[in-house]
Amino acid sequence: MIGIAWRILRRSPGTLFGAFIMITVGTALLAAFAIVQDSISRTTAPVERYAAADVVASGQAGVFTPEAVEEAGGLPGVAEAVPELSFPALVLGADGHPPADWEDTARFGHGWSSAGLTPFLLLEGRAPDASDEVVLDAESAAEAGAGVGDRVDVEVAGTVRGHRLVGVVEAEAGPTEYQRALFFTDRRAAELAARGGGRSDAIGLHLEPGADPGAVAAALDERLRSALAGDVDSPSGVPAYRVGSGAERGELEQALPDHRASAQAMAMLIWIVAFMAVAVIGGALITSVRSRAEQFALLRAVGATPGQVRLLCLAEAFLLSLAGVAAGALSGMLLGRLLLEGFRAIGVVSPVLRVHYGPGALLIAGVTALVVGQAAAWFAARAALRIRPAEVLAGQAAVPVTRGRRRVGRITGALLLAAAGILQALGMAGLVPAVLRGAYGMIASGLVIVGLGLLGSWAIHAAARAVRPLLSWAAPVAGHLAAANVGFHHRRYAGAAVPIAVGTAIAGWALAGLPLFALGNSQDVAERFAADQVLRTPIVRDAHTGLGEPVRERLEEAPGVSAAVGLRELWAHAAPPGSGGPGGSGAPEVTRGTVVTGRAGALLDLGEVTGDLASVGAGRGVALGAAYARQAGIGLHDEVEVRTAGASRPTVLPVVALFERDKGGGEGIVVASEALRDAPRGWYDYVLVGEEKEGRAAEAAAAVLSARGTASAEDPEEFLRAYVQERQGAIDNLGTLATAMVGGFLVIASVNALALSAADRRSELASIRRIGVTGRRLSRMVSWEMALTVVPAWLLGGLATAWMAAAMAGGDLGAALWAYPGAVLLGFGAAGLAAALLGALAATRSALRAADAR
Amino acid sequence: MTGQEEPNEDGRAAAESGAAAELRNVSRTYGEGAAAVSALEEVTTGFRKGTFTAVMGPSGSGKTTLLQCLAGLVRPSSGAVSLGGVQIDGLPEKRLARVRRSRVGFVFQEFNLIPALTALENMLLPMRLAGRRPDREWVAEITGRTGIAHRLSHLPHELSGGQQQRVAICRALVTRPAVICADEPTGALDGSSGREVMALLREAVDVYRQTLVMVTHDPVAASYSDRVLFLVDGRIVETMGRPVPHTVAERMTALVEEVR
Ligand SMILES: Nc1ncnc2c1ncn2[C@@H]1O[C@H](COP(=O)(O)OP(=O)(O)OP(=O)(O)O)[C@@H](O)[C@H]1O
Ligand SMILES: [Mg+2]
Repeated sequence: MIGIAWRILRRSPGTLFGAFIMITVGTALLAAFAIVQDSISRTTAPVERYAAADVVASGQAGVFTPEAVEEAGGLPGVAEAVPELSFPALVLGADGHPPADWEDTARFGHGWSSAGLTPFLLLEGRAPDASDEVVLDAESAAEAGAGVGDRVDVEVAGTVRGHRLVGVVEAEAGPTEYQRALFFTDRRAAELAARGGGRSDAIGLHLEPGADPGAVAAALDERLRSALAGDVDSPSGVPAYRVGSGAERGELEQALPDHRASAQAMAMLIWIVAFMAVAVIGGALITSVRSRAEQFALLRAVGATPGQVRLLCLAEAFLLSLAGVAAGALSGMLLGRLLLEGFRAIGVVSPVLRVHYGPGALLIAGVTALVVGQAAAWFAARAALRIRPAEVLAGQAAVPVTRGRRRVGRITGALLLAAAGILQALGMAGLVPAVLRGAYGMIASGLVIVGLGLLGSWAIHAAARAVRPLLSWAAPVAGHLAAANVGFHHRRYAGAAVPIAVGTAIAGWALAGLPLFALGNSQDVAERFAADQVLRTPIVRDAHTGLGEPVRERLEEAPGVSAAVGLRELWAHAAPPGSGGPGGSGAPEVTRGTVVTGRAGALLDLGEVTGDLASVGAGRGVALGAAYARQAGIGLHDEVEVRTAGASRPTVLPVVALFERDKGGGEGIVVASEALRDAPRGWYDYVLVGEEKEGRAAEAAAAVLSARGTASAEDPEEFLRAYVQERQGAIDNLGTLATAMVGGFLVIASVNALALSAADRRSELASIRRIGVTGRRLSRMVSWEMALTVVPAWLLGGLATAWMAAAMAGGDLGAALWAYPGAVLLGFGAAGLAAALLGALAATRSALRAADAR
Repeated sequence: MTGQEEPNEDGRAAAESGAAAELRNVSRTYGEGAAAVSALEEVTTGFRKGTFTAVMGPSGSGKTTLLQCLAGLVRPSSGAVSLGGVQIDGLPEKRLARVRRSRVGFVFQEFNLIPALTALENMLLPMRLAGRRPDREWVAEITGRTGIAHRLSHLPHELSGGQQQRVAICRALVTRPAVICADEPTGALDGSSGREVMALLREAVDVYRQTLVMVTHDPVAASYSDRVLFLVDGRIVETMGRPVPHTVAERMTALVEEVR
């Protein structure tokens, strides 16, 4: 069979050309995405700040206690352990604005004693000596236009303070490219960072000569881990800290965006493209099988078993894939480079990212494409086996499948779409079982693709029937013939058009998903706020830079303010004493915890509360979500061990309140920062302000924040609006670009398939022409056919998008409508239609010319 | 696979009676309910080894259906079909394919050859499918006799219609099947090519003792046969031995009149 497949490919390559193109394009996309993913995961941040430290530990704010630093210093081979604080700090310009690129290039404040970790050396002036003195690196000083002796405004944690510039430094190895540094006195730095208990953010080790950095790093890691008995990791496995030496130190500086999410998105895209490629390549293969019906009938007649026919289809696809993979891998390498450069240009990926052509990525793309080709061939084989040799060889047109079967397909298609929506809705609500959590998006997309595949042919049939009278009236010859053709051959046209439906749905789904995801996130946040003003800072590198306690304090003291509460979100866990941390037997899962400072009870809306929320704010106990407590088997007044990210010991607290709004246990803990004695303190993500009289909170906020700096105050409605935008901005670039590519893939696919089907109709077109239909009318007929094929498929995809959007919005139709990417989908449809028209007309013209030449 | 192709009880009886193939009470209906068409009704007939039978009848009378039931391409709605001693109705598709491969040779009106395979490759296709080695002498013999020995490495589109039919005849002969089924093998050929093809089919019966069943509309083609079955509305209405073109033509005209 492989021999026959080889001969077919060699001697009549035309029949499988369409499938070859799609495999090539598919492989190119797969290879491009794999290369991007590989490049991302291979890119390491350059070592700048910690260049002079042999071993570094760094993690979330304030994760290391002074004891831990001391222990680190006592490890064998360690000459000195230097604690380091590293917090966002901005030098504002004379106009009160931050530097233009402050969101792209990190700017960190440190204590002067850790300057040696780089080392930063004084170019001018002296070290800071008083709390209002600051030393800047040369770039920052130049940016601010300040020299030694000048005053500069520095914003830290939402508060702007004037400092005197007493010195200018530069890293020994030359200016740092990806971060700026501000140095305060150690005391001042500790005060500003406010980690509590003398905690630090990182530890840099200088080793004794001859000590092995790897061994010391391992020993340090072990020591630090044992000092974090109250810690929990995030569910995605991000640890509270990491230890590194050599090149690993670059990552630990936390100056560049974390690419892991992007890499994951790429992996997801690889899956989506693979899914779509199965459909698209399958479609092309099926077209080629149908056009060779006689050949398959003959094979069956002279004794090929069903197994042999299947093998022939698989072998054809395999050989074709080999050629397609070779061609696609090359274009994929080019595409990968373009993509990365595009990503870099729009700032999605870190400026240090370089394209890397690893054999691994190409191998993944190649193997995926081969597997995809085989999966597609399986569908083609099904089509081949459906050919009934007796009928084809006796010269009868193949009879379409019976009605009953069509209805089953239609119902199955609708059910699959429904299931996809429900799965997606459950996923967004965090209600899918843990095993499916990583994969439900992929499963849902698979269901959508198969569902649309089943519905596509029906949609085209129904549309052709519905518009037939109208078309026959509007265009008596061309329109009438087109409607009849599409209606009769709807399966053939569906094969070409289903990619449009699927692509529209996938693109629309992705485009609607991002705003809805952002909206859902933001609503979750805002839903709990019962405040009159919400203060916050922008999201930089995926996190709020944060607001410090001084901001909250001043608000609380402001006239007319009833309460000011600082909120911080982190991963947390509560369980009966002795049951161990997360992952222990019977212990509940990690949940989102809200750490509050101030009279939280007054400004948090947690739904129905039993118990006493006020004593949570006072630090006398913990409040648990009702669902979370139920899952963990914890009751009101029970004692629990509370663990939070970065805590050195669990805190035992009584449960003093149970609240209703906990997202099914996903946001299950509210606890006061005072209560968590053995946990680092951090800056607030939000400060909520309540007022005694209308307008007072806004007045107070305006007074506290001043017009300078990056912090902002909004009423809850404004907050929600602005915050959704910002969240979306933080995540959607990658999605948009990738979707555009996938859309391009589908446009190519549909043009390819439709042009192929036109080329296949040489004899049909010639015979229509013979009965006196002019070439112009034929062209018009083909145009109508394209419209009748593309438009219903596009509409179907648009409807599927609407359904998925409604599911993702949890039934909130307003939100679904808001997120519906109508304009983009319209563009998709228009581009698809235009391309299909051009392709089909060109193919028709050449088919007619060939027929005339005969 | 050899096991199931051994003659069974019925087969032995058939072999004794000299029938290479047999239809017993075979009926075939297409479609269901009101749209049902009865293409064959209770047809019983045998085809003795080494004989040439022509099947004639008006268009739509069930000729192709009869031939395809006999060849295992169409399953009868009821009745029994045996081929070279093996009862084939009710066999699963895979075994049916193997039966076709080894016991039936086909010559169709038009689409007979895979365009991407050379004449020789097309001819040996059933052997290749069966994983069997061709018998070189036999191949040389039949390609020589059909006069396509010098065309074997050509692709189908490089051959004339008559040459293509000859390749198909070689393919039908190469496995030495129990029966060769030909559906209007000369329908798409001009007169002289048609006569050459008919002469070759006749030789296959006379020289190689092949059993041949052929559907045709052409009284001249039918006159090459030993026996003509006339089919009307799915029933055999008449059998004619030693056919001569003009008697066949007269019968056909009469039958068409009757149908009206
Ligand atoms: N696959 C099918 N589905 C439905 N009806 C069929 C099918 N095949 C044949 N028929 C019907 O069965 C009857 C017999 O058809 P058959 O092809 O056997 O006739 P025939 O004698 O070979 O005709 P012709 O001389 O035109 O080839 C006809 O009425 C035909 O319409
Ligand atoms: Mg017929």
